[in-house]
Amino acid sequence: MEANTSTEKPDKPEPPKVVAMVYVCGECHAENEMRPRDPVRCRSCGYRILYKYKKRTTRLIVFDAR
Amino acid sequence: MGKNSVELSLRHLKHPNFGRDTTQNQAILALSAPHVESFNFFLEEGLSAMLSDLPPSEFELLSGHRVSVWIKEIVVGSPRLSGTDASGAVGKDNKMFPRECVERGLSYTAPITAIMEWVVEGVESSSFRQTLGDFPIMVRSKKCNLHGLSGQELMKRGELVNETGGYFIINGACLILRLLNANRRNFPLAVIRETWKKRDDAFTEKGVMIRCVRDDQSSTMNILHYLTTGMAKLEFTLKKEMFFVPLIMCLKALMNYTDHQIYQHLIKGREKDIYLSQKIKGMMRELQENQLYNQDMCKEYIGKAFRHRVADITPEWYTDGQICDYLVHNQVLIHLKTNSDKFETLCLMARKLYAFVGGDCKAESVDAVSMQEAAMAGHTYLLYLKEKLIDLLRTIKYQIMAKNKKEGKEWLPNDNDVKRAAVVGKGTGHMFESFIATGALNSKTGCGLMQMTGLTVSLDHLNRMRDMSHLRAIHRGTFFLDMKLIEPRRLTGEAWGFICPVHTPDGAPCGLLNHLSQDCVIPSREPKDQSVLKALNRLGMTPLHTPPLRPYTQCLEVVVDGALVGHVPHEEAQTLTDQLRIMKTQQQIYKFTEIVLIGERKYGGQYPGVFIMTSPARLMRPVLHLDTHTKEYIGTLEQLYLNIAVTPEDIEPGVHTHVEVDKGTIFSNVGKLVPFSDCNPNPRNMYQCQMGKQTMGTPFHNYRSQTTSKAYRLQYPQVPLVRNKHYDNINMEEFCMGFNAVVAIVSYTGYDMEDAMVLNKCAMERGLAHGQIYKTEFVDLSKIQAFSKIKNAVNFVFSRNPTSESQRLFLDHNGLPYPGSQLTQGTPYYCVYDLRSKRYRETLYKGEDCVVDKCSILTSNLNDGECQRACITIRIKRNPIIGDKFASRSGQKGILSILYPPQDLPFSERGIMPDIIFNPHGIPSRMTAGKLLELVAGKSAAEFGKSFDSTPFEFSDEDPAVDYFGKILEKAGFNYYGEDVLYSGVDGRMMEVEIFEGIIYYQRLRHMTSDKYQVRATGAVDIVTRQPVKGRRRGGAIRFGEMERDCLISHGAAYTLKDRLLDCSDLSIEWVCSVCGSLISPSVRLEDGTRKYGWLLPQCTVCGPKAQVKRVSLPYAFKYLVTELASVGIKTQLGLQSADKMIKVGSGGVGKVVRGVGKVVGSGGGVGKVENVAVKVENVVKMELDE
Repeated sequence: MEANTSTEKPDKPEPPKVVAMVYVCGECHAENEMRPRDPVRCRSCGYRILYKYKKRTTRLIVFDAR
Repeated sequence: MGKNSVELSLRHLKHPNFGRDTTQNQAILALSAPHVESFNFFLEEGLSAMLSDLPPSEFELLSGHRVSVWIKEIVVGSPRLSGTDASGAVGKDNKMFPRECVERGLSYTAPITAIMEWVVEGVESSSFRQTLGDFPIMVRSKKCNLHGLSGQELMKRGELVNETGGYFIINGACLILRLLNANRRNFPLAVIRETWKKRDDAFTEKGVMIRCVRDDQSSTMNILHYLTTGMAKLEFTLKKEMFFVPLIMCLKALMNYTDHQIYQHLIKGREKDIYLSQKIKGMMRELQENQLYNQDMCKEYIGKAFRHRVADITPEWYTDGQICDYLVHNQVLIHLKTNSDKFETLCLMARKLYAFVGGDCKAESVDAVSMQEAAMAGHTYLLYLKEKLIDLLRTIKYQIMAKNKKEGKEWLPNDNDVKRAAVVGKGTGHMFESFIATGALNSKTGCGLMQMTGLTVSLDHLNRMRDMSHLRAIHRGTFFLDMKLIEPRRLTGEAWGFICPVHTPDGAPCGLLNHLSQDCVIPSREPKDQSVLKALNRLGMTPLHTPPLRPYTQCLEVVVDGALVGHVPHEEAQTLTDQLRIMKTQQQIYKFTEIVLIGERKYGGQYPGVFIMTSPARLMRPVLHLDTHTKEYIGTLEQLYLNIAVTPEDIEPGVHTHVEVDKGTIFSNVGKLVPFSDCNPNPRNMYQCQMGKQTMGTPFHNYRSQTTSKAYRLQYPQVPLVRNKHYDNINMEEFCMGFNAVVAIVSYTGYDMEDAMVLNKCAMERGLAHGQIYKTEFVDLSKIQAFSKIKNAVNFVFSRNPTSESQRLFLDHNGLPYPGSQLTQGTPYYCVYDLRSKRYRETLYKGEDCVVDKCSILTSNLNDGECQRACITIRIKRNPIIGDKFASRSGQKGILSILYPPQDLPFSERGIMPDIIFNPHGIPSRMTAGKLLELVAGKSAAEFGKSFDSTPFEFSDEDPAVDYFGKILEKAGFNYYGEDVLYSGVDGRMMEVEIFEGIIYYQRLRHMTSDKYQVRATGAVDIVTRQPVKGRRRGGAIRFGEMERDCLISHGAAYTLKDRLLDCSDLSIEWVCSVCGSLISPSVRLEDGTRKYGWLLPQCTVCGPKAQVKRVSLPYAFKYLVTELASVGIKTQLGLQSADKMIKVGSGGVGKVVRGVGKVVGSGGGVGKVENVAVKVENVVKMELDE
């Protein structure tokens, strides 16, 4: 897929917020809480591929026929 | 045939353990055997054979000391984690597995180290280790970490239970080193080649050619040419240059024999050939005249002539004789180790040449499969490594010599100097990585291959069939693609059982890109013992240096792997080979021995003899040996001289010695899957072999860990109700790629003309043929271009812009999309924070609507494995729409023309309505009876909940398939012929004609409208010509070409023509001076410009303000042409005329060339005025230089 990159130029761009995120290990499926510039590595098994956590929707999917 | 055998098991439905079974299927693993085994050969015997033959680099220092450097050993490691990856591994070994490489976009490589030794004669000697870098390792080879793992363990490593391997992984992509056809090794071949004649008057078109291959797989070509004088010359190639040595001189240099001895050897067995004897004497006389009387003189003569050609390889102190020895060792019949063997074999070649010239034997063709073998992955790899090591040794030599020059005469190299010189070797691994990635060899010698590029193909995991066929494909060479010759493409009978007759693409590579038959194997190792030779001696062969009991004329020569080893009397030859064959079936000799007995024929066939081959890379296949009832592997040449019955019923006692294992053994894995292929014309089966490889299906089961840039998936795949046995044998039900559809063969809607097909809309909405595309993209922050970038540091981090509202909706805190979120054109895709300029770079999504399937963060080796890369996989919904391509398994492809509402479709009494309507016109001309049988069989299978076998050659004329399935249909209350009474869906009336209706397995092909549609009103134009660009990706236009133009001209549609070619293309309004007719001279002058109709009028810079300038409409490309012409000094003059005047002139028949009507159209705001000006190009071409 082609993607075009644009540089946003607000007057004062805020620096990135340091928020810890949860990733799932590709090997042992352990959940890892990671801050932005942490090394990419599972804390329990040392694997080097971490997946973004896929949250299940809270939206109602199955509707009752009424 | 037994009626019960057509039923197949429904194990995928009924077997409780189906899909959980982790026992490996050997039939699947055998697919990659030629690749994996040849790579194992490289790792084991190959490397040591290569090293033992690698000449040391020898040279003399200024001080007179002799230095020699050589490689003692090569150590291949296993793929392992490196750098920061390894340091952080917790409680585990550092093994790297292929899956991780694929997921992280890395290369699957292992370090290779050379142990080098060097010696300065009489002074110092030492050894050291030099790393050669990381080399790509073939998956599932012995050095691969998956080697020897069980199915269960493979699964744990994220692989398929039946992972075939056989490919390399470079930057996450899988690549195969393709098999190539090569000439059969070590077999002298009588050839006619017209190009030889054109070389020189001295040459004729006849010669005997031999491709010699050594243990380390390096090869040279030797040709014994027949000259117009009747003499013979041996050709060899040195550094891609050809050299010719007279036969007798060559023989003399090889052995210290007298002329009489040489004559005796040459004439052996052809004593009656007066011509030969005369020519031998003539050649000897010629040598005598040149005062070359003995071996040393010949050697010196040859050595002297070639000294300067090999100066960079051989040490300078070599005598001429030694140089000749070097040449003989490396260029002349290199498959033989001793000079006496070379001598004997050269004599054999000479005899064959003169037999050939005298008409006693016929020419052989290099295009015949029997004269070919395969160039295998491991062998190519080995050759390339050999060349690189020779280069390395040579570099060390030059480095040390350069240093010597600098340091002065007394200098002697120490350990550090040699090590420093060898340091360039560490780049070798990288060369191999780029070799596999691009498929191009960067080689000076050519490694004995016909082509330098296109050696690899990418294994794109489109579907299972494609992967399988990539592993089994064998290419004749790109060289033949451009040749107009038909010979190399021809399918000959001798390819039976080795090359699939069905599975070859049509078009350019037809017949050149072939596929190995299912049972065909290619051994990649040589036998270790000399058992064949021992067996021959025991069985009554007279060894070479003992004269046989009969005169030579009554004996056949016995040749083992290109070496003449003895003689056997004619009448004993048959028993000898028969007994040898029995030993082969009993495993007493190497099981891949090829035993060929070519008997004497009255009118000359192939040159007679007993030829025995044990060399690797030959195509072999199993057949049943009738005497011993065991499986025997036979080769391509061997097959020509054996009588093999196809079925046990065909066996005639006393005639047949072998019988085929199976009737379907001639087909490749893909060809074997075509249902009832015996009932289809061959081209249709060919088409299916092609289309099967383009089908959407189930390419893999580990979607999560795949990073193929584009993968296709069929949402609800089914196992075919009617399939071949082979389908089950290779577990294809795990990788289904199609669906069983109810097909009515009827012309019903008018939407099914010309191979179009109608799909039931409702069936489609329920999930029929639904599919998706998975696209994966690696985002690499280290590759972003930026002004303020600092090298080898972290410049960017993934982050969301806290102030951006749109990003908050679509991106997570780390600037990457939420898995499961929907993306449309223009929504944020990912965002990156630039640490240097403190700005955010947002990338918007461009493309079709999609869902983010998965998103992972990956390490880089920078800064302790910080996240510098991300892998985003998106999923695009691709349910069938009009224009998508479908095909049944009989080469019948069609386009979906309409999704028809179910209420309008015809229905049967039982309420069954078709999923697909297929037009009956597709049948008669294509004669795909297999499809009709499949329909009937499918219908009966569905009715009884069974699954039927459609393996070809199972039914016969006496016991036709139609009858078998017809009776089943009758049992179910259907029509015997598979026809149904249908009712029109439009008005509900019964249709008078009965409709052929049943179940056919359909495939959805990957060609889809959504990938191909191309529309444009305006858009991108070419910078130079201002014409629309081409190409769908760039939003370009479709070419309105010459043929289309002709079409409009013939319709007289002049205005349409102008609209297409001018207005919608590069229409441009230009100023032309009416006096000088120049398109270039008018220019706008602001200070004294006059205004007319609101325009600032330009003036002609040549003719001044008084000359009128007119506006004309022209194709911009014309203006460009005029400018270009001006730049080379050619003036173009336009003659302007008023349009109405021009018409008058034109009708007056003055015959002036009128190029077009210029018309200026006002473009809003009342700026322009219609001014009719005719433009006439007078082509006043004046070469200014002439004046």
